[in-house]
Amino acid sequence: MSAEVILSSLANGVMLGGLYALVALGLTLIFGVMKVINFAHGSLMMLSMYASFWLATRAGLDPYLSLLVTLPAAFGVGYAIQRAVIAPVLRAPEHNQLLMTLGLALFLDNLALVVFRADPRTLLVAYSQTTVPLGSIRLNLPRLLAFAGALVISGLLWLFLKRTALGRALRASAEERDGAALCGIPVGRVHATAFGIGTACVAAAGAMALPFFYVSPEVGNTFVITAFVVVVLGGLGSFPGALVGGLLVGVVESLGGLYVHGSLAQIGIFGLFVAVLLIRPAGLLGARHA
Amino acid sequence: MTTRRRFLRTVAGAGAAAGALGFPRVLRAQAREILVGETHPLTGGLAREGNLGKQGIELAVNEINAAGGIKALGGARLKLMVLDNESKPPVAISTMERFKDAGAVAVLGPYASGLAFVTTQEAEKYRIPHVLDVAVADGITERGFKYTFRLGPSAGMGARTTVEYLGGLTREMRLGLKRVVLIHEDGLFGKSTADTLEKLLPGIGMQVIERIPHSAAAPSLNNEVLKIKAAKADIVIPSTYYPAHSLIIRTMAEQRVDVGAILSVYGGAGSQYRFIKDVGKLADYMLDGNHWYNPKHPRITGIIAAFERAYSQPFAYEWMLAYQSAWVLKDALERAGATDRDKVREALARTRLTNQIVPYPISFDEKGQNPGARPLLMQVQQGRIAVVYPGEFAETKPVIPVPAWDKRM
Amino acid sequence: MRRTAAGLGLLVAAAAAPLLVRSEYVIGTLTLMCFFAFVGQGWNILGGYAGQFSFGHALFFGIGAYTSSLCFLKAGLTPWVGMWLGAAAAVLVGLVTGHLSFRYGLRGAYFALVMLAVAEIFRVAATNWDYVGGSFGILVPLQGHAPRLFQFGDKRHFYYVILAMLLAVTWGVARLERSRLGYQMIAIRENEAAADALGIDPYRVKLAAMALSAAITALGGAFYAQYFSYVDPTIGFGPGNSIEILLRPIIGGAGTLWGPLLGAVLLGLLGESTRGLVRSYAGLHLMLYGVILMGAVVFLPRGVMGALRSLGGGAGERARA
Repeated sequence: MSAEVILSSLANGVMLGGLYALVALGLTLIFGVMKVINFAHGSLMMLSMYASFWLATRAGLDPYLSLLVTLPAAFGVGYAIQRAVIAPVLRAPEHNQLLMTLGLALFLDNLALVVFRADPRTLLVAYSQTTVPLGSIRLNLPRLLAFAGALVISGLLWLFLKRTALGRALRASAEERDGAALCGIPVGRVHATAFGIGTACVAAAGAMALPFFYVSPEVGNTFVITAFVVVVLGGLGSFPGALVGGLLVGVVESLGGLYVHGSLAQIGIFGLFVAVLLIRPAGLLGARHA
Repeated sequence: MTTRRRFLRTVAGAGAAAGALGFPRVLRAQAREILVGETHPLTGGLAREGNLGKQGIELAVNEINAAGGIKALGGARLKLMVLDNESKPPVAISTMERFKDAGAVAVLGPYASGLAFVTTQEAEKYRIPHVLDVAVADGITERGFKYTFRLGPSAGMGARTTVEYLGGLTREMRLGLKRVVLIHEDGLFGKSTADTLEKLLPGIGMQVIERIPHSAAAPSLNNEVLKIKAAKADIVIPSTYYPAHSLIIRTMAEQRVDVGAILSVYGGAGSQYRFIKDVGKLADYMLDGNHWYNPKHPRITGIIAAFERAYSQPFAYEWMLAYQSAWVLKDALERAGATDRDKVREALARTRLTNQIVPYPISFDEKGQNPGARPLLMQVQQGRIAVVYPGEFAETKPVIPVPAWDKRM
Repeated sequence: MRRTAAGLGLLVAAAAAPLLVRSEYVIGTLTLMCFFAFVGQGWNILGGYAGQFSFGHALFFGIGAYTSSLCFLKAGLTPWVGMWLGAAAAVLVGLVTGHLSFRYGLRGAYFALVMLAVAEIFRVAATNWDYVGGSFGILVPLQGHAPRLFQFGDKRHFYYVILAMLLAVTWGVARLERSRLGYQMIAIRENEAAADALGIDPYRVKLAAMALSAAITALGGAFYAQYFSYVDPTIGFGPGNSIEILLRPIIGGAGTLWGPLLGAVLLGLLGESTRGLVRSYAGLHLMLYGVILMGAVVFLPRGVMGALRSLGGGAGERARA
């Protein structure tokens, strides 16, 4: 195998990993704050992709510009979903929370089927096939942009969590729900905010993936199962863990795919996943409560 | 639609008229409706294809009823019982049970092979004739079932015929393309197609230098395309579903991987107008061996126009095969002159239809497969899907080798 | 007494149903209900009684389906025997997975995800291993009416087989509920630390629950393969199947004897009726199904059994206690 192929595969893995990280960030934030595994995460990504798709085809809005519309909308949708659907089961047994998000996913996926029909749709923008030369390899511009976007959004989110009062409240209620409530933190609103932000993260990932991918009512599954692996790898609830885990999975998947064929490469990822769970159940970076 | 059918129509019409005068038994039959079951995946992973199938059958049944129903049964109208099998085999079984309960004369559907494995088995158990629309897996007609009929080409037939076409093209156009890379999804369809191709390609002087399986749900096919590039392929043959097929084409364009031809076998995005609509010029020059209509058939333009009017969708072969399957059943009902399932089965087994909208005659061998079925070879040219091979159906000449990506964008 | 009488009445009704009803569809639906209740009982031992939420029970289901079909296909062994080999294989895989997970004290979401991942590993492996049929899966060769090979010409026979299996397993779970092991499982579910302090070995008890659960689910898988005579990696090991397996016991009431049965009946009726309600729009009935699931979680947080118990004012509970 030539160095060019390996380098290109590595670069592609890193770029894809950035996107995994962003999807996983949303998932891990929601889990960290509420201890809920959101199985509707992929469905929310799919909805945002459709939103960007229609904004692009009907209003001529570039997917990146459409973020100005879809991000606040996604935050609002996430906020509302938490209030209406997740809040009532926050103290219920784990399996009920899981069932709730599963029901939500079933609802949203089939809503998309009714409204958008089952056709996979492809959105080509002017720069979809544009590549940026890097040494001897060509990087696909939309993938590169998505990677950069994922880093920027993660950075902003990090600043928000560290520097703002709301961010600190969010982290506090992630640490200790009841304690936070005792300190006068409006836990309900904080939870809804966390769900809103988590949804906005996955929505951003969706919009940025659109120019180099496709959208269909089932598209979320492609990313979300991997995002689970990422989240566990990095430590459920760990912010830097999601970033590192995302990049790691992206690279392992891509480089592994050079040597192992097709879906067999997934065995490696799941094997890694099981190994991490068994040896470091708190994840690679999830030192808390280990 | 066919001379034979027109002939049948006249004869049956005369019979019905005579019956109305002389035989009250036939008169009673006139008000009758013939219940036909239809099971398709209207939701779940195969919802797109399932809904197309449903629309094709609806169109055909409306035409049949508008033209006077089944003449041999006193103008009895076809009544469709449409059930969604949700792309799930257990649900597909329950749809078959409901057809049995309701007394359906025959069953049409179910598009996908995984579903057809269970629906044909139920049909056999209940002795209900089952005319398949697409469902290409070879194994479906290998189980010795008496009630299963497949009008289109199987996966193996599709791959074999496409290799023949490629061999023919190579000879006629004196193409110097030798090195083939097979890229296929690692599911049932992709793998079995690639197996057949690997076996047959050396027979036409081509050499399979690499076989690249991929996961149908892969988030990126960058690696796979890099491997194609490294292999210096002359021809790339994808056999995969729409999303991956689309990713392969787009990634090859983006990485400027130039090959002599990209020729798919039953390519998911191969002969699909919605793909062309979405990606425009990138789709140009793609070749695909696939189900298609006979472009020389006098009525085909009208039928396609009727479909596009009714469902505001561009042509897709999924509905065409389903549409055809309803006409096959209609023909059998006319000849059976009865709604008895075994009589209908016998009539189906003796089907001899020629000059249909599919580019082959329809008859069934003892396994229920139409032995004459075959795909055609299409190429996208200036946004239009044109038949390029074999010559008797060709609308235009193929462009091979295809222009480099840099010259197209 | 009343309870026994009601149970007997139900049993007689269930046994007589195929004789009274001629509809294939009704028989088929009843068969599927019994089947889902059966695998639901399997899931319920680990997920309900022992409180170890498994999100990958398709793992055991697939092992059962594959083992029994492969034994028949490759060695001509009747699935009546093959199903027990499948159960043994599932127990083995369950014990290994359980040993690794429980030894490290994995719980809750973590354990659920380990199960999901192991099932996925099996799915991908089955897809890529041609000896077991690869992505094509396995078509069980049809032999017509061959009771000795677990094949029947008439659906009613399948129905009686799964009904008998369901009765046996329900009887077994009822015994388990009142056994030492059963109490230990419940104690661990309610408070593992306290149970540990009382001298219960959580590791050993959870492994026992895992083994029982795996065996039952695998037997269900073997039945499925015979009933449908077709299994592929996604049907066998896919996450969709794992969800199907766990839905019914949870809706009915996790950790209760009647939960899986009630859940199977209710979801069976619900699935069929929503399907009939909305014909014209593909997907609408599954949307409705999703909404009903969510509603069930909010309004029946402890499943239907939980709601029934609190409706009854817990009179029966007090009497039993």
